Amino acid sequence: MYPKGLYSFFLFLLCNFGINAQKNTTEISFQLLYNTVPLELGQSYPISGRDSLKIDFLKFYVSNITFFKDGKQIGKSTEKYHLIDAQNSSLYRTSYTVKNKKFDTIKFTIGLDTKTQKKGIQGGVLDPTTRMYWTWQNGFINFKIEGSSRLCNTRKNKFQFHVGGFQEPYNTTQVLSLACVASKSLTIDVDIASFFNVVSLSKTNTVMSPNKNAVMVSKVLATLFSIHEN
Amino acid sequence: MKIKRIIIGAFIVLTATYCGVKKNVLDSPEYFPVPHYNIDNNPISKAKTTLGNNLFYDPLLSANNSISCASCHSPHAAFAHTDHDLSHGIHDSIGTRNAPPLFNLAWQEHFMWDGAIDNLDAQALAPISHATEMGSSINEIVGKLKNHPKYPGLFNDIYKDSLITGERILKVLAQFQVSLISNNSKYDQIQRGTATFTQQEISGYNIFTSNCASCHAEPLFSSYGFANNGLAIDSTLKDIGRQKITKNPMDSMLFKIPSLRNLAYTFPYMHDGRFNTLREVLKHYTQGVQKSPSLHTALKNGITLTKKEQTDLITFLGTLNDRLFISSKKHQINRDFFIKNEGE
Ligand code: HEC
Ligand code: HEC
Repeated sequence: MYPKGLYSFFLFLLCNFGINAQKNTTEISFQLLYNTVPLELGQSYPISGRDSLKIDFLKFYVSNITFFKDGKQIGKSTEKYHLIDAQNSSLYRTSYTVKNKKFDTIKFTIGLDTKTQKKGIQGGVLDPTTRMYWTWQNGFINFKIEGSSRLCNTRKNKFQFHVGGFQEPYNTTQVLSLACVASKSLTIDVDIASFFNVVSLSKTNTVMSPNKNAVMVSKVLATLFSIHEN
Repeated sequence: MKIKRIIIGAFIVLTATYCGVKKNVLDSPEYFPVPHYNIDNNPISKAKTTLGNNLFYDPLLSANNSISCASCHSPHAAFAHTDHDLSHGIHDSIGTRNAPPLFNLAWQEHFMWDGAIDNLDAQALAPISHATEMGSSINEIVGKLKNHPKYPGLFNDIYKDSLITGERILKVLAQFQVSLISNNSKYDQIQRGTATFTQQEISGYNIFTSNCASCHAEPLFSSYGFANNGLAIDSTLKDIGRQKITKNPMDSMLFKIPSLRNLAYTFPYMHDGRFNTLREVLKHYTQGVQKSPSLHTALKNGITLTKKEQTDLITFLGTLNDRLFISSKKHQINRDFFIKNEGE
């Protein structure tokens, strides 16, 4: 209908504007740890003196990473959703361009926001093949940890934490604000050992649907995150 | 800045003109309400409906290639599981609930008898993954479809690349199911002015509006909300319904209100298929309603109906059977697709 050249011309203009608008880049990494050393799936970790545990599966969503300065939002992530999967690597990197690099706080959601949850099936890191969408009830699992320990009085001594739920009163979405010193490269440590120091596997080892326990566990998970510049 | 905005605007306008403005609506009569299903997230196309149809009838979706969606949702039963109180799945295991019919799904906000699922696209994950239904997983199905002689081509026709993802499989399945619209019963013909009720049907219609319509609302014959209609809890299944999801005691024994369309094809009735005939259903409403705190107010004072009134009501319910819907070729299995497969 219209000559192809016209499109290329507009595309060219758009791209040009894009380049002019380029700002400072900040790299953010999520580092999965177990007692300050990089987490390894399948490795046996000592716990509470005589016992041990193994983690076989660890995946969680981080979404809506935003940058603040003096309480005002000054930047926002382009990629809205991140799926952090211990199977791939214990280190997950992503980077952003922030207009005014002098931010003092990073805010993000552990899990997915309610709007995304309500939208249901989507693609990319939200595709159901990631095994992060519940099969028998609504919504995505925000945080999933599976493994085993003799402390669990369950079949094959398994523990399974499928932490999700976005409808009150069992909303497990945690929004975290971490104060930081603006820098080109920041690392957010996620030390899983602290989780098992708080949640006693002999008492709580199976959380599979939105309920009181899921909310309690989601609050503990939020305490595992800490930030430092590199 | 201003120039940038104008250019972007021009770009959008040109693109829109180029693509042509697409009509993206469900083919439903004007006396139906606005559908709940968000078609913008899954634009309608004939190719998608056809592919969804093939998947719906394909036993490849189960672990040992023995069970398809249609095994429990048969077109001749308005996509319910006729003659089975509880549905059978893989390895002949028996489920805990009666398979509901599938039609007018685009107007439903909640799925399953207890509304465990709010999203039609996501619903299929439940039977696919359930150990006693199809016993598979969406990942396994992605693998099988990728290696199939025909499916990658069909995905390519729709998405212009042959990538097969969980999202695409589910949306294509949902699109076929959304296309299952029942709107050709005698009641519908009367709405369009091409048929009229008999005297007995009018009498039945009046009994319906004063006793049943508060829950089974026209024109879909369900509000698709939840209610406790006074069924006694089944002591073997101990199914408490909606309370399982909300954990609210006032939701004990609330189940999703089913549509009264196509009842001739969907027996047995209720979430556990406890009644075989409409007579038994009416016996329940007139004599069997169990009082409890969560019983719906519409049933608190009881319903009384004479034998004649019951007959008239059942006659009216007969006008809601949609023979065209259950015999429509476009909803049935596409035999060519499957026959040619076997030859390969
Ligand atoms: C083994 C039998 C069985 C198979 C196979 C099966 N279903 Fe179902 N289906 C059921 C039962 C039983 C329910 C009701 C479940 C409940 O309420 O918990 C149901 C419910 C549904 C619903 C919700 C309807 C409503 O009104 O709430 C939809 C949609 C559906 N099935 C689609 C499918 C699709 C698509 C497939 C294939 C991927 C499929 N089913 C395979 C038995 C089955
Ligand atoms: C208080 C709301 C309410 C009223 C009033 C009501 N129903 Fe129902 N009806 C329901 C619910 C809820 C179910 C599903 C119950 C279950 O399976 O546990 C149901 C199920 C049915 C079914 C079974 C449908 C199927 O597919 O399994 C029929 C038939 C039926 N009702 C007919 C009637 C008739 C006829 C009347 C009027 C005499 C009536 N209902 C009044 C709420 C109501």
